[in-house]
Amino acid sequence: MKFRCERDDLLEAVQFASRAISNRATLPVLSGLRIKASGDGHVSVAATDLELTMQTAFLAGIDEPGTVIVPGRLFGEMTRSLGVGQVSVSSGDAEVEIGSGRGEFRVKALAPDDYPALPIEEREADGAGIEISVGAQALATALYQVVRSASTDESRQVLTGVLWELEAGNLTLAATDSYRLAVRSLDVEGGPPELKKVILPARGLSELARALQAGASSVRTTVKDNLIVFGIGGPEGAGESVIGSRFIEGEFPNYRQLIPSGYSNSLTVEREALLEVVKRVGLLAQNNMPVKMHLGSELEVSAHTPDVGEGQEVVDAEYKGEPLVIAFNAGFFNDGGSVIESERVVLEAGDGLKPAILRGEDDVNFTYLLMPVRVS
Amino acid sequence: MKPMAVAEPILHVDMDAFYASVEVVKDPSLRGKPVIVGGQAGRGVVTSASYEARAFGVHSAMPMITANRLCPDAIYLSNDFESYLDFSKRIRDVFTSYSPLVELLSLDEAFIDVGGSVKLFGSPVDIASRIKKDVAALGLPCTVGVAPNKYLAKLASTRGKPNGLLVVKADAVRQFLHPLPVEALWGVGAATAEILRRLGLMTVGDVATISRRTLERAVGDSLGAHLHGLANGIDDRRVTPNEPAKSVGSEETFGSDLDDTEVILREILRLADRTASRLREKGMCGRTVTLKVRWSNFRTITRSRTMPSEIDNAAEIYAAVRDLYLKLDPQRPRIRLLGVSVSSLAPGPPRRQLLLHDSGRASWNEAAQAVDDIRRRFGEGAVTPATLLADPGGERSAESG
Repeated sequence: MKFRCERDDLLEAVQFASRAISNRATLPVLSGLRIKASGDGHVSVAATDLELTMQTAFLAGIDEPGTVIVPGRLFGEMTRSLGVGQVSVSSGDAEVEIGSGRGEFRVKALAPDDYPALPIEEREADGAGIEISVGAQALATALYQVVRSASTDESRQVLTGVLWELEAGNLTLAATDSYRLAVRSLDVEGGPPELKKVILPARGLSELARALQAGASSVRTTVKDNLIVFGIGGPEGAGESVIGSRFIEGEFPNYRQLIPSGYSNSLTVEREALLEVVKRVGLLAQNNMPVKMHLGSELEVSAHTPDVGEGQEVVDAEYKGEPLVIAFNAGFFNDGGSVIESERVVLEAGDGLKPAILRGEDDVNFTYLLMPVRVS
Repeated sequence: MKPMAVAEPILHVDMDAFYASVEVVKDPSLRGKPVIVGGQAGRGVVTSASYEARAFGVHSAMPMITANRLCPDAIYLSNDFESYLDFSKRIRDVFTSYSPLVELLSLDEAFIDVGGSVKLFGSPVDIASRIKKDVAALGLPCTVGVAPNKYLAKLASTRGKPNGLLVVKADAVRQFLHPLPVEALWGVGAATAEILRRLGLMTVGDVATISRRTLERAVGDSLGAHLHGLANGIDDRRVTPNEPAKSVGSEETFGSDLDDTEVILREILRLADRTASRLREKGMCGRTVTLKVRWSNFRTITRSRTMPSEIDNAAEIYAAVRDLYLKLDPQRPRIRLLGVSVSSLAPGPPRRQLLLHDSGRASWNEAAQAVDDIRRRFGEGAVTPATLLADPGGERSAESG
């Protein structure tokens, strides 16, 4: 295998694909990147941990098509260190060589036969799955709103994922770590005639959101067997990037029944002002202490940490309901508040022990449900 | 230069009906009325009763329903731990203004060594009355025992209640101590008292007269030596100022190695249960749970998990340590020692991050509170998780040391 290209193109591709390399690779070969030069002038770079697969391609001058597996991290650092300009990459005799005009590196390649078939390529071999198409920026926003509510506790794997409910014309994303629940629905083109539910690992979706925010224009989504594949069209259409993710097996909690309705206490407040106040007052909510919110014709936010200090601040608000005190983890509260898109947010509450609802004024597409902190 | 020896340097200060007294300070109109503090929900228990309420037979750890029957006209209030912690801090400030050697036993009880303070503040008895006065200025009554050592000081405050000041002079220890029943000896519960009675030992004085060897043979070496000392008014424990506790826990070495997972988990439950009780006793909660395991080859490992919010009950501590243990996945466990502890401590009951689809949790906490109250009243073994009720004959090989 031999090709020449711009260092920046190679570096970008290597950095993208390397995100799929797990720090805890189960097989040594999975710490590698697969670089494949095709006869049609494309070089593709891919990596997988068998759950998450990331692949992207760029145009290059191909002298000799072929495939090589390079040690991922080292190759990335070598590429970066070469400096801007043209580089050439070639392989032979279980080695790979990368060089610019003045210097070159030669490192051992990993055994290509040990490298597993990429899950996304297994998929391509057989028939069609469910296809949907959605605006890249709309999906990026939706992911940003939901993914951070997924759990990081590996002992309940299902909750480390995001539920995708696909139906004709609509996609609903939901994630919960049992303290809060984020639900976002958005319009899509295509989709299955019958509701299809899959749970996708939050890690892959964070990578997807990041890739989409880098300026993708469209994203093509295919669901097949136990795999979802996102084809991300770049701005210039140079080469499609692909992110593939396996599903998490298991039953996602029935989240709809958790969302209360008919709360009579409802507070409407400027979003920026609220977030700022919670952040400021939250400085005095250390050691896991909550911020207390006194809901009334104005909103008073206070916090107290024994042996440290206390703070309080008042924000103008519109309030319908009985005066009420409810306490929240400040971080969880602002996680939800900061991803609301409307200028004004609505906080609905039953009492100090029931889940509160945070949503944008006049926005029915995003709901953030947050359990309060019980204070004595 | 050696400071002049003080014969009775140890004070034990015990607040009278602390929670109820704090409530009276908060609302002075309650003064002189029967005030009962505790869980008001269905199975709540009394945590504190004013002396006016005690006249009706109400006492702490009593089910609230019983208190209701005995004293229907009392003023019933829910626990307000924030205030109790606040007042506890204020009385601690009083104590530390007289001596740096203050050892807090709980929110409402402390030992103070004033041996080095006599030049500044007068005799221990003078200091005791000044402390009483300063604490009374906060609106709170207390009883102070003054004695040559911790054991006698604590006995003295118990005898001096309420609102008293009782001194046990170094040369009057015997007169004070010897007429007391054997239960007054620290470490003597119902079982040991029965053994002593069978030997014809009814009072502390009786225990003091028999030889240490006889006592050791009757109740075991270490307890025997300990009781022999106490009965003669000897207690060498120092007043150790509290470092803020970094962790609270319990561990146990087993006489023979544990190798059965079921037994191991049961011991872990026992330790979790004890740890939870100690946490609540100290009015603390914590976020990090640690399991310690020493294998038969003395290799010792610890595994920790930090919870999203503070916990203080056995069920949650157990769930975490059980998980930590099972994750070790020992193929052929041979365990010499197990320990459970909780760190990242914070004062007060946990500020509980509630869970969506939460059901059983709230009742766990009420149950835990009730368990503590019953243990306080009837002793450690009175309530125990059902799985700890081993079959008669039990596989358990070691008692805690």
